[in-house]
Amino acid sequence: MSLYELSRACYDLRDEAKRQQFRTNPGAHAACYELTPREREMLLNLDWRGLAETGVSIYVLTKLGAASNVEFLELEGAMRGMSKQQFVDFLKRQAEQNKHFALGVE
Amino acid sequence: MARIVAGLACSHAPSIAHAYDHGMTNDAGWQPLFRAFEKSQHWLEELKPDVLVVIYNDHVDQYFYDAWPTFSIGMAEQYDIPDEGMGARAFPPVPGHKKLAEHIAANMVAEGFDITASHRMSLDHGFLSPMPLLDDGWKIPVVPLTINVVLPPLPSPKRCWQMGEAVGRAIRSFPGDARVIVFGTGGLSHTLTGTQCGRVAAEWDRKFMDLIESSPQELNGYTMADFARLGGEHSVEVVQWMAMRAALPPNARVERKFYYPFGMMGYGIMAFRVPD
Repeated sequence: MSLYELSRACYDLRDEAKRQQFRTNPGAHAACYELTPREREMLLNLDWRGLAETGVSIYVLTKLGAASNVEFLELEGAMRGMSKQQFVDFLKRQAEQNKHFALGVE
Repeated sequence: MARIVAGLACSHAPSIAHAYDHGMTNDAGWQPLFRAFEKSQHWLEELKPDVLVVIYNDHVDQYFYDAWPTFSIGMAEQYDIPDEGMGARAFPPVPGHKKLAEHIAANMVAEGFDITASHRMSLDHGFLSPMPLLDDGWKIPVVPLTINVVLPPLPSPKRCWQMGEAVGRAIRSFPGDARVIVFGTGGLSHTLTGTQCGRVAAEWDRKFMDLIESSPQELNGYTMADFARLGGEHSVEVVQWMAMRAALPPNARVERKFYYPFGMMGYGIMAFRVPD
């Protein structure tokens, strides 16, 4: 129901004490915000794609990722439905294809 | 009066901060980027600047959805290092140039640019990923300015250009003989969500760099939606490059150009020199 509340639940994880609480008792952290059951589920299941599609900014999802010890490349891979390794391989292939656009590289 | 002696545009990214903090700057993948920053730092040092004016964007660290300024300026004696989720990075506070900040803010408002003043401000990776690579040890005081590229409604690219022009005029009317360098950080292409996540649009990035160099005002005809389509949703940060470019006098010339499509980003650096 509230993108603001969902975003706030991620944004507040900039605070170390809140990160600790989230790690030990994620449900208690979620309970501090007015979330619908679906929002709560996405937050606690770390449903990166679902959260992003709901409109939660990647810039607060990275805070949820850090609090959950999820690597950025894993989080980003999930956006495409890829594992971290699949995503890294995709990025390597892309870099190879784009190589000739580089400029001033020493 | 103060003089703008140079302008520098560059990418910012958590990946740059991560590689720096984890001693990866000489790794094969990262070395070209950090080498380019190192050379840029030497180039900047030789210009002996007194103040660095840095136009960048926040990423939901300093500002939140309660209120998000379209344009803001830091007015503090010094700036905080934020905790973006993994603890604050190990840097001392960044020294500010309060007098120039006050002058820029007053002049912008006087000419109709109602900028928000932040009297306490933390500088997130939009500032803090590239700036230690360009002024190691915080030798030069800064004036931070932000443009909203995160929370709609976003300003138009044309408005960001006009903001940069206003910043440039304000700097040039600052009493004294300060030597000023203007920075714009952000971009180039990257997409952080959706089915195109990770896409680097290298061909567009190079075209954007050509336009910034030779006919920057052509970019005023683009919309934020155009930039999002061409370079990815999160590449709209390139308006920071436009604002920097607009702050420079017309005789500014490119002296350094670097582009490196790697990982999830098109990393770019462009340095403009203003002839004496």
